[in-house]
Amino acid sequence: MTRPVPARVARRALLAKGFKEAQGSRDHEMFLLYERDAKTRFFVKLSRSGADVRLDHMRIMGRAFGIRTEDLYRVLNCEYDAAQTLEVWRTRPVR
Amino acid sequence: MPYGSAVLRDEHAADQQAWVPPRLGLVDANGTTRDRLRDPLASIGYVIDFSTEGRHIRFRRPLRVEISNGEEFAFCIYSPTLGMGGVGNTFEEAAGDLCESIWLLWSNLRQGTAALDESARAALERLVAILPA
Repeated sequence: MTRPVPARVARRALLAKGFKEAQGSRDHEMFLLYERDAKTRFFVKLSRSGADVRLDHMRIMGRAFGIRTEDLYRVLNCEYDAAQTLEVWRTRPVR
Repeated sequence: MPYGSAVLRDEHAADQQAWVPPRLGLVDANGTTRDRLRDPLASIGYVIDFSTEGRHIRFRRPLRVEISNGEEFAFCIYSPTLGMGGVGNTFEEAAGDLCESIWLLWSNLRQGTAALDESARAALERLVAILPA
């Protein structure tokens, strides 16, 4: 079951699963997934003021990247390790 | 292509020096141009331009977005052209979220020395096609 993920959990998970912090904005932090030192287009934007990554945000990101919301939830909630995270990205049905 | 401009509310004028909401063109499901979207169901919108970090960015052509209702946010919008989306409690917020993502992804893919994988190269090509040089 998917539910909102605390931003601090998501931030820690992303940095441990192959994402690197990128240039953000005043309002948002940005994290890009790297594969073998190459940037991918898979990114997660976290609000600097928001306490949680909300479900609608996960759904729209899932649609954008061709990833199931449940898989994105497990990435953000630190249930997937780095290898599983990369596998989610590599095996996405929509490219 | 039908689109019009919307007059945007400026609820945080004092806090918007770095970010100005995007200007929007809105059409309803019947293709009628509207100034403001009141019924977002089955609607299509066009985002025309936006400003960020002191720059005014006008898309080469209006960016078509699909609009739906969310569970937590009133508006979810999605650009099939770019494969990117945004959420917000108003349409303007959702479009702003999308435009900020567009700008940040474009900025991050262009800068630095790291290589781009196939997905990033394709995304950058799509962004270059719609953003001004």
